[in-house]
Amino acid sequence: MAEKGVRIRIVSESVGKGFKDANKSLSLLKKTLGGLGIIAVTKQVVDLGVAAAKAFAADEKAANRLAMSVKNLGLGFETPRIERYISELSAMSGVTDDELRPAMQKLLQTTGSVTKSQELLTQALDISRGSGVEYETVVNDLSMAYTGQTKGLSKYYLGLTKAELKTMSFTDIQEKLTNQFKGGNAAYLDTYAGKFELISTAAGEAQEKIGGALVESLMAAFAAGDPQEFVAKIEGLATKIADMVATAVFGFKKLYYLTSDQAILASLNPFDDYEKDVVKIIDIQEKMFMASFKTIKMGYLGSMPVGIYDSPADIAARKAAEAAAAKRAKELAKLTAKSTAEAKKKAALDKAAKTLNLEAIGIEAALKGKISETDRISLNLQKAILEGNGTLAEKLAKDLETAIKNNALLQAALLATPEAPNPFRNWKVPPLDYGGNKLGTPLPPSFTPPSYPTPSPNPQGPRYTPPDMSNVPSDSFLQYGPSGGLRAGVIAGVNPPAINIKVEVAGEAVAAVITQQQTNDSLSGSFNTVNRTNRFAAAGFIPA
Amino acid sequence: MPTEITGAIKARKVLKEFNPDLLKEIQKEMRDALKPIVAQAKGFVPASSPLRGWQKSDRFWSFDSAEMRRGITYSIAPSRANEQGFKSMAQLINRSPMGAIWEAARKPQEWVGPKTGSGKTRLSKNQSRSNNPDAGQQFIAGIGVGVQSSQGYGRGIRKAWAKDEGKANAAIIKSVEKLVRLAESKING
Repeated sequence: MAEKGVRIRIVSESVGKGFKDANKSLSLLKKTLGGLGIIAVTKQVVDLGVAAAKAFAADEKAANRLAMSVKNLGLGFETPRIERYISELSAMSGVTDDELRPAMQKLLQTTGSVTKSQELLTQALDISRGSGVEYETVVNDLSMAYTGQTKGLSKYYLGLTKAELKTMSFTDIQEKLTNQFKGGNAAYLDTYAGKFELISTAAGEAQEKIGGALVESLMAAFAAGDPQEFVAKIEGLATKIADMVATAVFGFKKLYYLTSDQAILASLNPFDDYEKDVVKIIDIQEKMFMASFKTIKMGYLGSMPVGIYDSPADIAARKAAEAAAAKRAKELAKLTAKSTAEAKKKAALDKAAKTLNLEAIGIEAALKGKISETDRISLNLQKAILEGNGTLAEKLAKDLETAIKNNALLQAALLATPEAPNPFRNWKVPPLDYGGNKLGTPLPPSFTPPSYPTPSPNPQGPRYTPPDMSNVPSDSFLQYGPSGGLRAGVIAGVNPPAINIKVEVAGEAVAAVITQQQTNDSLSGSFNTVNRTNRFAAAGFIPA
Repeated sequence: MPTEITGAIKARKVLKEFNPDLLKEIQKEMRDALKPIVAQAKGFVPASSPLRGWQKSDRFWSFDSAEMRRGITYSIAPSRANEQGFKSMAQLINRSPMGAIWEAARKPQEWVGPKTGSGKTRLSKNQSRSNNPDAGQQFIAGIGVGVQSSQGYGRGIRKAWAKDEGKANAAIIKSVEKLVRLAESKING
């Protein structure tokens, strides 16, 4: 039972039901046609179609990827031109369009310019052939170099150091590469391997159109010829066969309708023009198809562009895109130059920092220490050399030479000086004794150490005279003894005798101070309003 | 043409068996992709009949806005195989009869007139027997212009599908691919 309503089927999977039915019908058809010998012919045609369809599908996929990339770069109108260029380059160089398309995509994304990309694409061919490096790698290296990353270029042995490569502009690098690998592709195509590759590529391209089986037969027929001419012939033949295929398909359609039941019935009816109408309609359809197939339009059929003409708007847009790309290239060059200059400056600074900072500081520190005169001159000389002071350095060098000579002379003189005699060589040590016993000899048991008399006080020496205390009141030193210390029975801080102090102040002065204090206490209120309720009031009034 | 993915139905079964939570997660993603289209399509349904003669009545094909809106829905369960043997993993559906008419009407039927026959003598169901020879054309002109989408001409789900510009399609394909991948990883350990 059919499903109700209108449906949008989003993701489907074949479960084979329809195909089983189709297979039943097909086997029936095979039986019928097998007897007529049509199957063998049909199989060849189908195989051819399958091969061609596969090649076409793969080619279209790659072309669409490039077209999308170009469109995203805002250069959608350039797609036909790019396709045409790739097709021509492929035929000329023997590199397949499957390789050229991703390469073109990379370069376009990097440069943003179709012209520049085409130039680099061609140059990459020469470099690849000349150096033996793979085409894709060469394109990668060129893309990187365009943005200032020259690391990959060392493999081409350009005779440049890494530092030189870094400081060179892309134009200079390109020139260097051109000089080294110019004509690489042409030379390669002169070889048998090159010719073979050219033919293989051309055959591959043709296979995309009309299928491998047919191409093989064509190659067998024309293999002995010139490769370029052979490619041209294949192109022409492919187009003709494509036309023939279309004619044959529409012919089959006519046959199908003209052999139908309705047509047979109509043929019996002189008033029914069914057959004529069918032929007429199919002819119109064929004409429309051929017109649409060969019509001049923007775009491409598979990998081959058909009838491309630039409109003024396209030309203007191309100019604008090229200008933008050139501007970007200039900016990149400026950036490279700037970064190179900065790198140089930084390198110089680093070098200066390394030498000056370490060496100069070391010299200054050494000069401050205790060093010999020769060392001082030597350090000053190093300092002068670091500072680039030639005059001083020359002078100091002479001084140093003199000092070294003097040192050598001094050393020689010192070496020549005879050994000095001991000044005490004739001095006799007097025998010392301790109580009559010589030093270093054991004491006899009867030895008595000598005694020394204590000195008696000198009656003639100075004596202490106590001070005169006759004028001091008798109770002033009650707590002190005659020698100045606390008297007997007095303990410090426990029972010191009381000391009475009598202060005599005038009564009026004391009264005045008390009155003033009371007056101040009676004051109340805020800082700007002071009220006194009465002279000696205990509480004040604070206004709201 | 719907995108064809191989092994999706089997993968769904595997995931349902071994990791139903993950399947629910993926189904949620699919629902999230389809819901906005359904909501938009429902918004395209006219509030009242655009034609006087098509107003709400007892007849099953009469214009009922609420019923038409209810009929616009989606499905993420595998469908039955169609005549070509394809099962769909996700569908947008305009289910109601009047909704389907409103959705897809584009070419008027051939007018044969009221006297051409009826019942057993009727020549074809696809012929108009109205008194008015221009009835079909007038009906189509009256219900408004639709949009040509990748799934055909339509005014409801097909219009919403066209307006979505393939976003939902991409999301569903992604989800189904994820489903297949997860099931494969489950099978391969």
